[in-house]
Amino acid sequence: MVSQEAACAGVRLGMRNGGVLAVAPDTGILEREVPKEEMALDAIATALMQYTPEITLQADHSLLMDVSASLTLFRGVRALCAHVVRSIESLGFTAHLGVAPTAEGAWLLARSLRVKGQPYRRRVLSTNSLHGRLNLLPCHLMPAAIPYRDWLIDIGARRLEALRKLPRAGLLRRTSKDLVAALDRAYGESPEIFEWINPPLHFSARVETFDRVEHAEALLHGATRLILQLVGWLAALRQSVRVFTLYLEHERGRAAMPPMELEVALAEPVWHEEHLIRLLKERLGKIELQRPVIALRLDAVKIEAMLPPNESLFPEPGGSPADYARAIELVTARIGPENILTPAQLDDYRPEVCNAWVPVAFKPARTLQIEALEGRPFWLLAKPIKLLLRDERPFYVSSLKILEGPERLEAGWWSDDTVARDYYVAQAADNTCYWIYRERVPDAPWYLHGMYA
Amino acid sequence: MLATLPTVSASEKASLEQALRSSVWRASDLAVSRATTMQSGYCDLDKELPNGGWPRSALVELLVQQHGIGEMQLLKPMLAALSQQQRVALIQPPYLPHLMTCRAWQLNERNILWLKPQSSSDALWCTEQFLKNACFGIVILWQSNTRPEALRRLNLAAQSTDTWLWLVRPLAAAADASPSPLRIALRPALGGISADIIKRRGPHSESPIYIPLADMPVHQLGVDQNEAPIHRVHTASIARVSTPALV
Repeated sequence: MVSQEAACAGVRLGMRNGGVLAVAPDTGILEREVPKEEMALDAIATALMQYTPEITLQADHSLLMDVSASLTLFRGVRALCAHVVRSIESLGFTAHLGVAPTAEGAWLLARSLRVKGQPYRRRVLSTNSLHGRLNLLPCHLMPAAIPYRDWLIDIGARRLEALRKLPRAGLLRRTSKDLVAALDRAYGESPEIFEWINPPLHFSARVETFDRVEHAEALLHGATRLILQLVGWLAALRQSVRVFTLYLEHERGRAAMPPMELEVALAEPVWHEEHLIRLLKERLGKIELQRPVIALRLDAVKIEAMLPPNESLFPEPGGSPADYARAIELVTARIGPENILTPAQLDDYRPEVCNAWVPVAFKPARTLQIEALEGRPFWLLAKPIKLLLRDERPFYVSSLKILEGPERLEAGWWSDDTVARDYYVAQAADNTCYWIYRERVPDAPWYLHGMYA
Repeated sequence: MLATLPTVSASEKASLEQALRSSVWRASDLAVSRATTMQSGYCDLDKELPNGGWPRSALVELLVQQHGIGEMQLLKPMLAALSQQQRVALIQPPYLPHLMTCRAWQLNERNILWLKPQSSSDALWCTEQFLKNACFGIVILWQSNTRPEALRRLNLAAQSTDTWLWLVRPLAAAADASPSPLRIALRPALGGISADIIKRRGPHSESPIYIPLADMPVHQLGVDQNEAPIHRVHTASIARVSTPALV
C-alpha cells in the first residue's frame, strides 16, 4: 500500500526499500503483519454479524454479506449501509462498500475506482443497472483476468463489456475456466455458493491499545470495539449476555502483574450496544489503574437465550420494568450499590432501627403491614445532635418551646443498645418544629432527632 | 363604528366574552397552557399556580429557608397519590427520610428510592438519567449550590419526560436567575408553611400565601381545646392565617 503523499513523492508499488528511501527519504516503511490483518478482519466480521448471520471472508481483505433477509429490519439498503459503515468506523477501520444483486458483482463494485467522466456508483439494486455498471469496469479488476491482462488489452477487450462479447468457447480455450466462471457469477448467470462463517460457541476477543494507557477512561475506545464484537456475536447466536468480564492486561516483564479483572453482571440479560457501553464507561470511570494497560480482553461469562421484548398495546406511563432495571444498573455503576436504598421493613420502636434502608440490589423480604405511628417527623438525623440548655430550656438556633410530649419509647432491652427516651415536639422561635428527646436518667441532656418537614 | 357597540345586547356580550376568554390572555390572569398539572391538594396554593397545580415535565424550584420546615408536607398529597403507581426518587436529601412517617402519610414505600450520591455532580447526573429513563413519576433533588448551566440542563431534561421534578435549594438562591418556570420560596409558619411564589407564568404574586399543614404538630394541638396553654396556641394560629404577610 502506498499513501497519497508517498505516491506524490514518486514512490510506486513494487519498489525495493532502498529505492523508496532514495526517492523519498522521509518515507516510513511499515512491515506487513498478516496475523494482525486476519485478526482485524475477524473482528469486523464478528461485529457485522449483528446485521446478518450470512457473512464470509473473501479474497483481497473483503467480507461478503448476504443482507437480503435483513433489508426490512434495518429499513432499506441505504440505512443498512450507514449502519455497517458506522460499525466499521467505530472499530477503527475504513471500508469500501459495494452493493449489488450478485456477490461477485458487489465485490467488483467495492473494488472499483473512480474514473473521470463516468458515473460513479457502488450501490446498484436491479440486475439491469448492475449489468450497466459492470460493463464499464476494467477487466483487470478480476483476479482471474490479471495473467491475461496484456493479451486482453492487445485484442481491445479493456472492459468487461468487451470481454463478455468474445466467443465463449474461444475465451475458455485461451484463458482459464475461473475467469469465465467469475464473469458468469458477476452477471448473475450462474449461482453462487458460499460457506458462511460459523460463530464460535464461546466469546473471547482481545484488542491491543495503541499506546500504554494510564487512565482508565482512555480504555473506553478499545472496550467499545470489544463490545461491538460481542454484540455481533450475540446477535448471530440469538443470545444475550448476563455476565461478562473485561481483563485489563498490563505490561509484561520484570514487574509483570496478572490482568485486572472487571466483572460486569447485569440485572437483565441484554444484547444492546448502547447500554453495555454506557455501563462500561461508568465502571471504567471509577477504577484506578495500578500500571499502564497494553491490551484488553473481553470474555462472555454467562449467556442466555435472547427473549423478544414483551410489548403491550398501550405503553405504561412509568416505563417498562426492563427500563427501570437498566436505569438502576447504570446509576449503580456510577455511585455504588450502597448508595441506592430502598425501604426495609423492620418491626421496632427505636426510630434509628426501624428506619432501615437497604441497597436496592438486596431485595428485602416482604412482611406484613407494620403499624404506622402518627406524629413523627419526615427527616431524621443520622446522629442526634446534643442540645445546649439555656434558661432551663433546650436551645437550637433559638430557645425551644415544648408543644407535645412526652412520648415514651423504651426498647432494645434485649440487646446492648437499650433505648429509654422521652420524645417531645418542640417549636423554635421561627415556628420550625423539631423532634427532641431526653434519656430517662437524671440530668440527661437533650438531643435533637428529627424535623417536621 | 363605535356607535354600533351599545346595540349589542347583554347576553350577546356575555357569550362574546366567554368565547374571548379562552383565546385572549389578560395580563392580570394566570397563564393557562396545555401543560399537564396535578392539584397540589391545597386550595390556596392551587389558586395561585398556573393551570391550578404542580406542573409536570418542568423544573420546579422550592427555595427553603432551612430544611425541615414543612416542605415535604407540601408535597405529601402528590407523593401519596403518585407513589401508589409510580416510583419516587429522593436524591441527596439532607437528612434521613423517616419510613414511619412515609407509612403514616400512606405513601407506597415499595416505590420509594433514596439515592445518596457522594458528590453533587453525581446527584445531577443521576437525576438526568432518571429523567431520561422516564421510569419515575416523581424525582426530588436536594442541592445547595447549583450552577446555571446545570439548572438549564435539568430543565431541558425535565421537559422531555413525563416526570414531576422538584429541586429543593436554599433560600439564598432566590436572587440568582434560573430557567425554572415556577419558583417558590418557603418559610416556616405557625401550623403550616408560608409560600412566596417568586416566579411563575403570569402576574407577579403580591404576597406570600399561608398554607395550613395538617401534620404540623401545632395544628394537632389546636384541635384539642381542653387545656388553657394549648388554647392560646390555637388562637395564635388563627391570627396567623389572617395576616400571612407578617410571616
